[in-house]
Amino acid sequence: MKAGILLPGDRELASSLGLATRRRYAGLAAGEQRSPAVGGGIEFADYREYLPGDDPRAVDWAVYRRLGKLLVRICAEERELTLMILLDASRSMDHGEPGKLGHARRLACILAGIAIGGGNRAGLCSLGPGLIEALRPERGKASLEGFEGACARLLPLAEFRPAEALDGFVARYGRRCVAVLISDLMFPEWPQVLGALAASGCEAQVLQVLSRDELDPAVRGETTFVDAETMREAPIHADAATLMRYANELEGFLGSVRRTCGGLGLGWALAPTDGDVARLFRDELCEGGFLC
Amino acid sequence: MLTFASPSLLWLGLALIPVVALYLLRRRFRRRPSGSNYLWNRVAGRAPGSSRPELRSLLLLALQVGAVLCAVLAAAGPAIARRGAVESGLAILVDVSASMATEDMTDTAGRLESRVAAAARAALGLVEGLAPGRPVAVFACSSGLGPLVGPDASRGHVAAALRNLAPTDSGFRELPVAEAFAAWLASHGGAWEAVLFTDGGLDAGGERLAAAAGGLRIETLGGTGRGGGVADLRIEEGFGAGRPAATAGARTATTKRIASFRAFNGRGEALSATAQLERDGDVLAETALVLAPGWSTCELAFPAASPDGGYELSLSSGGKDFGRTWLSVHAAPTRRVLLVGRDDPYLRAALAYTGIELFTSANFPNPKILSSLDLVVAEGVRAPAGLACPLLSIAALPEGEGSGDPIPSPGPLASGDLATVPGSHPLSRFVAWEGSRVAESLSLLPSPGTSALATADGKVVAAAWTEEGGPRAFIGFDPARSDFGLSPSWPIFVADLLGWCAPREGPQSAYDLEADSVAQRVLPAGFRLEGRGAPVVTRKGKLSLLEAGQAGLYRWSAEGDSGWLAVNRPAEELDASPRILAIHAQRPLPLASRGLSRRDLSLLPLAGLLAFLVAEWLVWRGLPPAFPRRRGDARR
Repeated sequence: MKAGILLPGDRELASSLGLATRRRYAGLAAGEQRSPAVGGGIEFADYREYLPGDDPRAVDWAVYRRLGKLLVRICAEERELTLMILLDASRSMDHGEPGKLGHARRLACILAGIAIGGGNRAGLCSLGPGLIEALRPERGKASLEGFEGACARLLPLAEFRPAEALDGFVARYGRRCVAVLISDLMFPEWPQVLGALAASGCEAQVLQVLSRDELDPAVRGETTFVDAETMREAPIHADAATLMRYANELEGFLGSVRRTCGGLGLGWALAPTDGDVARLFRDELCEGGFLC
Repeated sequence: MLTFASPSLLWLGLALIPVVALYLLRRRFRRRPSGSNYLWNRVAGRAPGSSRPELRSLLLLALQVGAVLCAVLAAAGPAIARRGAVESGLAILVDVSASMATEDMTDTAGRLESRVAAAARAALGLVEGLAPGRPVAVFACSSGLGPLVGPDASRGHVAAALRNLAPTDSGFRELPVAEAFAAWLASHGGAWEAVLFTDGGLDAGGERLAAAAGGLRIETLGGTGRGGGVADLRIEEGFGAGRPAATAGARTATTKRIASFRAFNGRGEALSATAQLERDGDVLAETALVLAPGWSTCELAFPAASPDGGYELSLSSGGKDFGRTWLSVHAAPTRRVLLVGRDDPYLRAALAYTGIELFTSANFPNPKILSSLDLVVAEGVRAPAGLACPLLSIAALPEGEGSGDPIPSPGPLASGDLATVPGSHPLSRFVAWEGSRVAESLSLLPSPGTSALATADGKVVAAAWTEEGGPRAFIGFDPARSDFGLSPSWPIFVADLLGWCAPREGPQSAYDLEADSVAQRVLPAGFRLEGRGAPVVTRKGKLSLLEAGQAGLYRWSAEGDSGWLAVNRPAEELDASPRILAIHAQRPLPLASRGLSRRDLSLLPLAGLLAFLVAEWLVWRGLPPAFPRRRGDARR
C-alpha cells in the first residue's frame, strides 16, 4: 500500500468479492470469466451436429444412444475480463471532507483489486478535457500496486469535457470491457455521458460520489458559494426553506440519475464519501448483480 | 406636535448609511467554496454565475433598517406635545420664614394663631375646593425650597403636611427657592398653578419666583402684628469717660467694654423694656430702655478682662420676652502660611495680616507638616505632586502637570502686557492685571476645570484650579520682577488667595452664623458641637461646612480649645410688618394655566423594534415546511 489509498480491510474486501458479469466478452487470454469463444472450457454451452474433423471426445454418446444422432457438446471457453474504471478528475471532485476524489480513488482501487484478484485485468481512465488513459489494462498480482500508483498520480484537472471523454472511451473500449464510472455527475451534461456509456456496449456501473456537505449542507444564513470549477459565485440565503428546497432538488437529481441509469441498463449506486464502503460493495453492488 | 427628549440621539440614524452600503456590497455574505454550484443554482432558480442579491436579502435589509430606526427613535424619547388649556396641578408654597411665626391672625373660633397656621388653614381650604384627582404639591419656603408632599400624594397626606407646617428661624431667600422650584417643575413637566402664602418677606420681591413658576398667585397674610426683637449684638472696647486705667500704662485686670445691639419695636409706640446681657451664664449688665417705634441702636457697658465668651442679650417688656440674640467672641484659628524658595519681601508684605503665622523654608518639609498648613507659597521651586494643602506656585509649575483634568499642561514662554481674563473666579475679585508687563513668563495650557486669570501675548500666565489636595494657583512670572508686584492688585490678589484657601474671619464672626444658612469656616482640629439643633459640621479638606438650623447658642469643643457658636435669626425678620409685594398687583395669576401636555411615545418605537426583530427572525429562519420529507428516501 505504497500509495496509501486503500485502507485496512479493503484488500480483504476485494479478495472476498468477484465480478459477476451478465454478458460474455472476447478476451485475449484464458481466464476465469466466460467468453463468447467455445470449446476450450468445461462449462456446457450448446450442442451441434458432428462434422468430420471434430474431436470424437466431444460427441455426447448418451444423446446418440437416446436419439440416434451424433451431436457434439460445445463448452464455453473461460477467458479473462477487462475492467475499465472511468474516474471523474474534475475540480468539483476535489472537494468535501473527506474529499470526493480521494474516496473515488479508494473505490477504484478496491474494484481493481476485485478484478485482478479474479484473474482479470483492470485499467484506469480519467475524464478531463478528453479521455486520459492513466493505466492500460494489466493483470497479475503486482499490477494492483501499479493501479494504486496510477490513482495517486491523478490530479484534479482544470478543463473538463466529460462528453468528449466518453466518446473517446467508446471508440477505444466499446464492447470490450466492463466499465465503472466514478463521478459526482454534478455537471449539466450528465445525461449525455450516461447515454454514451450505455451506447458503448459495455456492461457498466455508475458510482455517484457525493460528500456529506453536498448531501446535507451544514450552512445557515447568507452565503456565497464559489464554484470550484468555474469560480462563479452563487449568493444564497440558506434558511430552513432554502435547505428544504435543496434537499428536494438533490432528491430529484439523484432520482433522475437513478432512473436514467435504470433505463439505459446501467447499474447505479450512491457512494457518500463518509459512507460504509463494505456495505456499498457487499450489499448494493452485489444485490445489483455487479459483484458476487 | 412630535417632540423628542434627546433629539441629538437622532444623529445615530446616520449609522445606517455604512450598514446599508456594506449590505449592498454584499459584504455580509460569507464566501464558502463549493464543489459545484450545479444544485445551488437550481435552488436559487437563476442562471449560473448570476450575483443578483435575493429579494429576501433586500427584505431583510429593509427590516433591519426599520429595526435600527425604531431603536434610534426609542432612544431619542419621542412624545407628542400639545399646547393649550390643560388642567393644571396646584403647587402650594408656604412661607415658613421667621416672620411667619408672628401670632397676629385669628382662627375661626377667634383665637390668635400664627401666620403659618393661618396659611396652612387657607391652603387646606384651597385644596378642599379642588376637583378630585387634580395633583397637589406642597412646599415649605424659607432659606430654600422644601418639598413636603409630591403630586402623587393623597389629599390626606396633603392635609397632614399642611397641619404640620412650622416656622423656621431663617429669612425667605427667594433666589434658591426660585431655582429649586424651576428645577422641580422641569422634572415633573405638565402645567402647574403656583400659589404662595406669605407675609411678604421675600428678599427679591417675588419677581424671581414668579418667573420660575411662569406666573404666581400670592396670598398675603398678616394682621396688625409688626413683630419686634433684638439683633446684631457686638462687643467693643469702651472709650471716653469709662476708659479704664489700662490706657494709662500697665494693663489692669478689667477693661470697660460696650455691648451694642439693634432693637426693633414694631408696636407703633414707645416701648419700655429691660435689656440683660449674660456671658457664659453670668449676668454682666442689665439696664432699662425705652425703645422708640422702629429700629433703634442701644449700648450696654460692662467690665471684663477678656471679651471672649458666649453672650446672650435678652429684651423683656412687661415681664414678657421681647426678643433675644446671641454672640460668640472667639479668635479664629491662626492661618499658617509657608513660604518655600526665595525670601520675597513683596510676598512677606502682602501676607502681613493679623492672624497669619508665616514660616519660611528653602525646601519643602515633610508631608505631615504640609498637611497642617493653610497655604504654601512656592516661589521658583517646583512643588511636589499631590500636595495635601492649598498652593500658590510662582514662576514654577507644580509637579504632576498635565497628568489629567483639571491639572493643566505647561505651555510656551510668554512675554508682553498682562490682560485680565473675564470671569467670576474668587481670585479675580478686584484684581486688574492690565497695566503690568512681564519680560518672560511660564505659561499653561488650561485643561477643563482650570480657570485662566491672566494672559500675556494670548498665553495663560496666571490660572487657578482645584485638586484633591486643595486649591491651586499659578503665576508664571516673579511679581517682584514685574510691574504687577508693585501694582495695587498684588496685595488684593494675595488677600483673595487667602480668602479662597482659608476664609478670613474675625473673633466676632468666626463662630457666628445665620439660621438656616451654610457657612464655610476653618475650624480647629477635633471640633465638635453640643446641644440639640446645633449646626451640622461637614469637613471638606482644610475647610468645614457648617449648616446652621435653629437660632441659639451652642457649646463647642476641640483639641485644647473650647468656646461658643452663636446662630441668630436674620435681622430683617424682626420686622414682621406684612408687605404687599408689587408683583401681586401687577400679575394676577389666571385660574387655569396654559401648559404643554406631553404624551410619551417611547413605547411605540420599542414595540416597532420588537416587531421588526421578530419579522427579521422569521424571514431569516424561513417558515418551516408543513410536511417535511425524510431526506435520502429518493437516493436508493
